Amino acid sequence: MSTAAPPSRAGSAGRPLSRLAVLVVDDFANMRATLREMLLTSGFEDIDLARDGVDALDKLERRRYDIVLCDYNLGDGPDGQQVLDRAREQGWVGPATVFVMVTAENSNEMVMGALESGPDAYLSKPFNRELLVVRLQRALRRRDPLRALDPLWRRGEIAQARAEAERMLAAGEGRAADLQRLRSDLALAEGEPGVAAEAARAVTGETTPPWAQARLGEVAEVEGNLAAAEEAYRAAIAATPYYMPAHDRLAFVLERTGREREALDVLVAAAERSPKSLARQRALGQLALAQGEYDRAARAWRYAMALATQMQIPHPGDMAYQLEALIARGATREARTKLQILESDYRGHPEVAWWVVVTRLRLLLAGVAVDRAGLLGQLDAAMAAGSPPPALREVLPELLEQAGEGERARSLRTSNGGPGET
Amino acid sequence: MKSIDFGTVIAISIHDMKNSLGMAMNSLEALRDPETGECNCDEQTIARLQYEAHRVHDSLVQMLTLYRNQQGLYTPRLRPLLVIELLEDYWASSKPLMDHSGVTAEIDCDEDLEWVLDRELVTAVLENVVTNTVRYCHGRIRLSAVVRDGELWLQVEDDGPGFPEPMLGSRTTEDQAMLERGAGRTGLGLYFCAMIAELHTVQDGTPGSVRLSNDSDLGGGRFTLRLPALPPSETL
Repeated sequence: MSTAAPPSRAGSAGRPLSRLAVLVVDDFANMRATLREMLLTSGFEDIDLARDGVDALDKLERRRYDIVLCDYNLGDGPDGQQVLDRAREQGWVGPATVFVMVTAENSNEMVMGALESGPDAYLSKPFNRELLVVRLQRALRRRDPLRALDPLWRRGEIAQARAEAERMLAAGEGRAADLQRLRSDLALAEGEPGVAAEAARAVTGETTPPWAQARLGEVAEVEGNLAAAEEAYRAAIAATPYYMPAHDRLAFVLERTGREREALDVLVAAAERSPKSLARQRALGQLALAQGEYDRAARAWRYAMALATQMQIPHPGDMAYQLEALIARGATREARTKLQILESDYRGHPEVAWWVVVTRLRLLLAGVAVDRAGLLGQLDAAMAAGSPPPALREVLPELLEQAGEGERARSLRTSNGGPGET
Repeated sequence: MKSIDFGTVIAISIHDMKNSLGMAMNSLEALRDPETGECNCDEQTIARLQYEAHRVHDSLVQMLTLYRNQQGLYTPRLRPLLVIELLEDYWASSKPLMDHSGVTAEIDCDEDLEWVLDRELVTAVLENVVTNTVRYCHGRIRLSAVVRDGELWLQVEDDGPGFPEPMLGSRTTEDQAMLERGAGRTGLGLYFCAMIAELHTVQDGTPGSVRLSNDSDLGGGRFTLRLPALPPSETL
């Protein structure tokens, strides 16, 4: 239980607000200035400003912030959630960092609790200084006890970080629910599924958080018990239908147990509810291709392409798979035109040559007039420079065989280290 | 949900807003010395003005929502949110009114408590209840939320004299006595809160409800809005 205390100028552990490093991210200069002013009046002094998602990620990489105050809508480039996801994935936002997402009034895009790891708090515009300070103070009170863990976590000393979390739990320091979650995450990363499950069970009560229910599924997956995993994910979905990671995991388990059709249905529904996940669009694209649903596949890959570009992590595979769907559907003319875009837009990506080769092979096999010698020259050059990306290691030799290039297929398989990958 | 006579709603609302505006006009006059024309910034008077402005605002929100609901124009936007953020948002927006009235509000809510509800509608209930409570309490208000028997209980408690006997207990929109002109603003306000509670209903499930009691450990009244667990209504 918490009581909103009147705003004061000190954090809960007595750290003065003036000592905390704050990053404000907003694409509007006057909003940045307003937020900075509000923070200065509240006692903060160390404030950096970022003008978009790219700028924010750049600053997050260089400096460790105590607080990130980030608008959700950041114009072109990564949005606030994408900034948070990437910063967490890269370890730039640690367990002690407070991340507050600023959203437009009645925003439809951000849905609380739909994500595996959301921000500490939301602030919906317009808001006054009082509210800003109350939100930040509450989040600081909660994150502050995790400061001792932060450096361990950042250095990747997982076992030590978990030991510290366990010490804090035993000593009654910090918030038990937060520590159990951290402990569960760390244990899973450490390869200790039993501990991860135990920590998840420790927070089970009248209202079990969705992460804990889904965690039991992940643990079952690690232990190879797919039936138990499926049951856990279904339970998580029944309790919190809008928790999207459980849908993604469920689809994966269904696919692994040979129910691809059902898996596709789950992902289609999930992507309709919450389309902005790159991993979900890619998984949907793969399943749809395998099921022969080419229209759906092309749509999912197109969406994935746009998301990856927005997040500044474009990948030629997204476009190549879209072209695969188009070719399979008979839209070879469109695919051929778009092949040029694949070549030019993804130039500079280390894998681009391989994806171009695969796409041209598919066109060739679909009966389109393709410069065979040129294609083979490109393949040989790529093979001389390196080996194909893991996603193409099996399919490329297969396509080569179909095209009557058994020699190259064999040499590719050997350079891949034999057929051991199957 | 029983439908209501919108003429009665208009009559009650106009009557109340007319009174509020009358009070506001008097307060404004008191802010200026009639002889010297000098303005004095009297805390008491400002609090009064703020209170009346909130009342008129609440009445208009109430009238519009009742009208839209009556016309079938209102579909609740049910979305998950952190309940403590809802309480804090309302606390921050009403803080000037409370400060001027010498009232302090505390929030008591689990930080992780998530619930699916229509934020705008539930905030309108809080506004309605708190504006009233600020008037009658002696200086303390508590906004709290807990989950009981699978329902969210949002409560507003105070240290005032409590609700009059006839108002106590469960209030529903079936309770047409609330809409008699004699019941005035309070009756309409309660009808409004009950209507919003009932808009939070699962098909064939228990509807949301409203309850008044005088058992707050602050010493005064306790208003409870109970909301069942609902699925979100929109795509994410």
